[in-house]
Amino acid sequence: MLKRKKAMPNIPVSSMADIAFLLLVFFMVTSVLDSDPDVQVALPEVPGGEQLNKKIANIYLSADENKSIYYNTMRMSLPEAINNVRAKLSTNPDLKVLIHADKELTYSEVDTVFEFLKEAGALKVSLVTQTNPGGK
Amino acid sequence: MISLKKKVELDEISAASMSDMAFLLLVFFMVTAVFFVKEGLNINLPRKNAKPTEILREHVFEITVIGETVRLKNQSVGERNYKSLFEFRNELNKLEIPNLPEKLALIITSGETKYGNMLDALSAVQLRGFQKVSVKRKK
Repeated sequence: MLKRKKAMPNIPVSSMADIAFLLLVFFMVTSVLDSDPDVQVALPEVPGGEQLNKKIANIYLSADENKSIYYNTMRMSLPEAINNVRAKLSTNPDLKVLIHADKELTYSEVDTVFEFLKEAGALKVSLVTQTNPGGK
Repeated sequence: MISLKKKVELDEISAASMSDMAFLLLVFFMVTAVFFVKEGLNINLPRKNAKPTEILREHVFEITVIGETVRLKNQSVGERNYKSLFEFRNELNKLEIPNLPEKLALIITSGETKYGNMLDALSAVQLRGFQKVSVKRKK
């Protein structure tokens, strides 16, 4: 008696490459690109910082070790930067000001920025700290 | 004359391993990717003409940061001095804080104190569970 060979069921894998590439493209398109202002600032290495929502537009104010002030990436005087903050807040009052200040600066310099921000009505502030790779 | 044409065999690139390569790439990118998540200490600045609020002295922990040194003062805990912010952070975590209805901290710092040190003290206090923290600059 002749035994008929049973055909083994197999899963078609021809579309696997398409799925993989689709996933790859999806991750590449949806990932949030880092939009940090390109200012060289030694941020304080402090634990306990909360993760900041990057999907919400923020105002970046930076101060480097030479006490230069940057509004986003543009270097300008503090009053000019505050005027820009005020203008930005007039269109969207919920914006948060992210302060990138060099850890070697004295507190009085940062406090001066706070005073200007108070006058401009920018009361929501985040003091950006050094981020650990990979987040928390 | 009969000519026998031999069928030319076309070379093929095997695409069977394409999915393996794609998945390998996917895993590689997922594993090596560094997610740039910003971290920061959130603060709310007082309004320009905000009136100071009165609070009970025994609820307040007064933390004075001068340079690297820290002094902690409270009615129930007493006065303690720390040589460094590192010591302050460690000791603050061990410190038995009385059961108060609200834990308030007042950080007093000189203008010459480094911003990094002030932030270090602020984060230590926030991590210890103080609900409200106020920062005052010595003039």
